[in-house]
Amino acid sequence: VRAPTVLFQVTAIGKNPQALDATVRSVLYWVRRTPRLSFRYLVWAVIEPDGYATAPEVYDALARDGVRIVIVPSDYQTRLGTRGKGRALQYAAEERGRLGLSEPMTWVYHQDEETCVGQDTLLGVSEFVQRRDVYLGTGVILYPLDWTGSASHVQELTRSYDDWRVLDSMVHPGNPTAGFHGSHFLVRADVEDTIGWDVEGYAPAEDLLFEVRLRREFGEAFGILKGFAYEKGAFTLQDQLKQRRRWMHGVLHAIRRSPEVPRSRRLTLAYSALSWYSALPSTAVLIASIWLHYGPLLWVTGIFTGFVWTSMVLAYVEGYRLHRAYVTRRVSMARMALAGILGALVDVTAPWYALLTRPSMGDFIPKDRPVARPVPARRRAPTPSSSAG
Amino acid sequence: MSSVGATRLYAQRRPGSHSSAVVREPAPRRDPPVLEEAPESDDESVESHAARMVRVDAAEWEREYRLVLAELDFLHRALRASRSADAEPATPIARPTATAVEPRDVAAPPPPPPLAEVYGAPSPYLEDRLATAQAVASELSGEFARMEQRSTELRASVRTLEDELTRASDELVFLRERDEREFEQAPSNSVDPRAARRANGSPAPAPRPPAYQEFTAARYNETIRGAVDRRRTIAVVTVVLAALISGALLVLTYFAHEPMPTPWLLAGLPVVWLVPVPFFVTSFRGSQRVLGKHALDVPEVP
Repeated sequence: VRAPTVLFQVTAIGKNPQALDATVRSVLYWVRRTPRLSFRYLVWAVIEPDGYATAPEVYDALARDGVRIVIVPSDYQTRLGTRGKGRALQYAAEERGRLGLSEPMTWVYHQDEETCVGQDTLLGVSEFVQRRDVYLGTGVILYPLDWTGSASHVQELTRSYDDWRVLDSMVHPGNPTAGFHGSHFLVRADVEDTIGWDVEGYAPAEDLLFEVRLRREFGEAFGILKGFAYEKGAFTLQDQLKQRRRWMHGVLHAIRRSPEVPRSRRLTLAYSALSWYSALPSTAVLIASIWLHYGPLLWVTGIFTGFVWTSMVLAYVEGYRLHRAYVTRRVSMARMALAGILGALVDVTAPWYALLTRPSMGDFIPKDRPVARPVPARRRAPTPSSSAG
Repeated sequence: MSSVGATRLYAQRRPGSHSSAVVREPAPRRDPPVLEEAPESDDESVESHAARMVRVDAAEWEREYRLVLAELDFLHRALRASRSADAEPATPIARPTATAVEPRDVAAPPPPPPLAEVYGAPSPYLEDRLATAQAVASELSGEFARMEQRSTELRASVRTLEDELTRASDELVFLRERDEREFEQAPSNSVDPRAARRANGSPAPAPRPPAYQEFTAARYNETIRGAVDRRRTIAVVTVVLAALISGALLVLTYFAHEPMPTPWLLAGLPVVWLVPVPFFVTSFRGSQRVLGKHALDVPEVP
């Protein structure tokens, strides 16, 4: 008879307080406006002290509205000494254990600071927590928040379409194409706390390691979570490049320095990295063939070239169709095509950029929308209320 | 009354020739109700037969009575003899017959006989019955324990339910207060916009509602149904377009008459070119499979 508890956990540094505020308030908004939810809810914001210091008033206001602000102590260290987001996630897991929330009737829905939920998300979560055959579920993420139609935003459309591939791979034995998310996933609390997030040193792809460990310990216990999550893309091409660099560092770290990742999964990851790395040379060959006349190569490659090109265009078109009902700003087809090409060029460059540069620990992607400062009124007439006060 | 007797009685009550045919049969000895409930009749033969039967029964009852009395006297003497067996040797007791009935001695009531004689030897099934009773008692005890546990769980559920109701009412109060606040803060038509502009300097833009308020279940379902409906079209279009593009490229290559590149280019570049092909194939197949196999709708919310 007892209802499950869903803990909506936003784990972030906390330096994007506006985005985090909107994320948390999206949960509070929809849990109060969605009938027939089969769970009780808790909302946690797990942030760093630096993040809290950027906007204490925002976090205090959230705390007044029932959100638990969990500030990871500066001197906190995990047993194996993990750093970065994994450290905060491990702290939250231990905090759940201390509060008696690490049990089968509690589920944790993981969000990034810009992962807003909708009514559909909550209904999907509500349905998922009734299941007894799976421990973890994830779904499709859209990127409609603050959508401007810029190159970096258009490029995110393809990620949403690729999520169908991610979901299909995740529910198949061994996750053959290594699909997973670092946000918008729901996991049973006792399972998560059994696995934990503690690894030796810095793991840029903590979500990938978590998925591998969970699959190893609990087998094929993955399901599809209905409902979208709503995020936002990087605002600039530079941020997009830095974000992709972090992903590639995560993949390389998992291949080279994570002994717990099984050999088959490493091969899959190596193939993913290789195909990503091959994108830039392929593009270079394509451009160079105009002058160097590699025509006869098409006897070999031409058979599949049509399929590759069609698939790439399809990802943009279908990605946009998924977003069409959610984005308010319309852009022309020509602009969309140009933005897609530009965004794709950044994506194919990113893995090579990752080889040459390294991110710092304090590196984060801004998600708060840059707003223009309001122009102060030149001369304000006294109002009755102000004169009275 | 047995059904046979009832049928017979019904047959006797029926008028006509069948009635006389039935009553002329010899009345069965072990069916007195037929006689007792026989209807009054004018038939003389029925009357005389009943009277004769009553006389026979009276004689038999008297004989039975005497036999029972004799049997009781015998039992009484036998029990008294067994009690005084240690004191004096028992005299042989002759079992009475129907012809020699002696008056009973009722002046001095005998002491009660030993229990073993009253109730006889213990049953050979006593152990089994005791074991069965013990098992039943144990089962009952278990059932009571389970009932208690279930009752505890039910109490906890009731507490949870009460908590939920409290939370729901709290949220209701919160929502009402919020609605009232929003209503109070909403721009009113009664204010002259020019006066407002004069007062504030410039018209303040209305704050945009957060985007997440538009993320409804209906919109999600509409989007998902669109994707599912397009699945086959996407598959067909992808294959056809891929074939057309590949065909066009091959035709161009055929008619271009380009010079053959060096062998290392011919061997190396296609590998680079074809590396992502398996990824795109699995992506295409996975997308088709997920949309085709899984129901992704969420319940509609009124």
